[in-house]
Amino acid sequence: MAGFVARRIYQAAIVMFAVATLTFFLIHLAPGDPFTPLAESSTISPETIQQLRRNFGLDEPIHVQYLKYLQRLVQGDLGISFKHHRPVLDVFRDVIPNTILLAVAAVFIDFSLGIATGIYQGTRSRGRADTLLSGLSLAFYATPVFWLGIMLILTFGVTLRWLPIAGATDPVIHDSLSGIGRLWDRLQHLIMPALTLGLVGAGGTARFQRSALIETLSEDYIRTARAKGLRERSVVLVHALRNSLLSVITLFGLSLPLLLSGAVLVETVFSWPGMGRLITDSVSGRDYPIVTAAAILSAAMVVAGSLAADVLYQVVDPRTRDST
Amino acid sequence: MTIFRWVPLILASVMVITRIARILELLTGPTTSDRIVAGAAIALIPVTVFTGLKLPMVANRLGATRELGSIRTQIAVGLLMVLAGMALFAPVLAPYDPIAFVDLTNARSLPPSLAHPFGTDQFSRDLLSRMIYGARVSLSIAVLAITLSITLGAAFGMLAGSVGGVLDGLLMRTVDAAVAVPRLVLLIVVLALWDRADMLTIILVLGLTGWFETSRLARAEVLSLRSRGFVDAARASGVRGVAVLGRHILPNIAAPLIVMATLGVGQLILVEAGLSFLGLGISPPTPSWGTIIRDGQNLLHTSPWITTIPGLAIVATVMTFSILGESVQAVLNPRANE
Repeated sequence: MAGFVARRIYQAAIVMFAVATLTFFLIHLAPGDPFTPLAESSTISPETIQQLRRNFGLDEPIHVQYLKYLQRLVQGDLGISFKHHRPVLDVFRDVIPNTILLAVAAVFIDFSLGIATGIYQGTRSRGRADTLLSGLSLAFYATPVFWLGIMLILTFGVTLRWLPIAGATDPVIHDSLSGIGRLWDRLQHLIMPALTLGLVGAGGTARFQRSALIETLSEDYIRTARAKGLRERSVVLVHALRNSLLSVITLFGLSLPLLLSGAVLVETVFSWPGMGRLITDSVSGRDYPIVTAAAILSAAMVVAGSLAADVLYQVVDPRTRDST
Repeated sequence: MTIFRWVPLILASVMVITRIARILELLTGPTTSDRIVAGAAIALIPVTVFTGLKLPMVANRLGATRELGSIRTQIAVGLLMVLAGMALFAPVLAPYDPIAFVDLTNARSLPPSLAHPFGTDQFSRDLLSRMIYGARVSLSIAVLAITLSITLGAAFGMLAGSVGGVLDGLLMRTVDAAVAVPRLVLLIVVLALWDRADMLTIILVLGLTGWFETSRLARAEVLSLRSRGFVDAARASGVRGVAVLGRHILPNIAAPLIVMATLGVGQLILVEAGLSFLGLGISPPTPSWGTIIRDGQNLLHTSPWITTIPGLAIVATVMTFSILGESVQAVLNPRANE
């Protein structure tokens, strides 16, 4: 077990190194650099541009830039944001908790709703309810996440006026509220973004859980469980579910990149002060260091998540334990 | 099955009869591409008669007869025909110019009516026309980009799998890194520094960032097929490396690649819509479904239909390609489902 974890961490480190390298070269592949638009305007002298390039080390040969970049990266230095004039890591430290809050809430909705629906369908496969729910989960799976957000805003924000449509807290009254009031305010702001991201994910999870359960239900040990006279309820919930949940752990690891891609869009729709909105804001300002760091940090989240999923799988499935 | 003999013909006839004036106008018009489209519209009627007659035989040979009998598949194929028709014959079908301002003083943000079935947007452009041309843009981006991805993925995967060694390691570590970065973030990194993206840029960027999963699949298939008897037999009879890949391995991995491509079209439509929504997609005024949603977002309070209609179109299209993917899977690999 310890050997497996150590080997997996080593692999994760290699992936992160490759991500850092890939990002560096992708950014430098693009035509021009962050100061090209400045150079095109006539108000700034070429000497100033040269000075700026020198300040950020962009006048050095590319392999020198690459080595210096790796060196700083290892020390946790991701550079200074052009727009915020602060270390990139500090800028991210402000927003990452919000993204994690959103992601955790979304994963909770995604998996609780998706697994419950999948179980309900799996036990009634090919019935009318199954057909209906299959159509529904396929529809959510096929929905552009940002559009679902806009539709929820239209319904619950604009028409019914039940929920706030932007931000993570109320900008005016939040600070003057009591503890419980603040919590309630946060929750109200969280519902729609988390629901948007969770529902789209739940569509996929339900489809996955349904087929995983149907497959498990055809196993021999299920026939044994039924033959010894167990109630169908405990056959499904005790014997089948435990095994079909194993594949859901794998699904969790695989769905993380999609979740973060979705978060970028949902945060933009709901002006949620997280990583995704920081990224999209930085694109228009050509804030290089932020965009680079976003790729590295989001990859780090994905790699850490799939590492956790793999380890969890080892813990839950005794069959894989001996082989390592 | 019989409905596929008549429905395409009826759809084609309805299009040609109701839009005959427009077709003639395009035929005599100045643009070559419009003349080709108009000619194709007229040619469509005999073509659908012919395919309708030949379809049962072709379906039988492909082993698709049973699958084409299922209602799900029939609906999906029907929707695919409508979508493809909209994309191909956009100039014939669209009642207005998709980027022209109809009447900036009187026709801005009109609700749906007889003159404008989907209403107009904030610049008085006809939304139905923009949706039809948007289908053309969104679908051709998705189809061309997925073709590029699957080709690249198959090529790199087969190369890595058959060459092995350092190159294999290097390629697969690159793939590991690339799939760890969320797709949208990766796309933002690539597109962040381009000022304006035209269609070719978007297709290239989407295609070049989409081949990673395919290459893993192709590589794994090569590794498992490499030691099989028929490959050894081919080698022993003197077939060279590349020919073994092309003639003996590729046909065996074609089925999963085709399924992947079908499902991938739907996913790419979602990705492209997301990019357009962030303002990183195709530059205005070219309509894609994602940019129409973006345009409509500011008018959500007063003209919600501008946002609603393209979203529904995307949902329907992605569902269509998901179902088609399952149908193709059932036809190509009948054992997988049972």
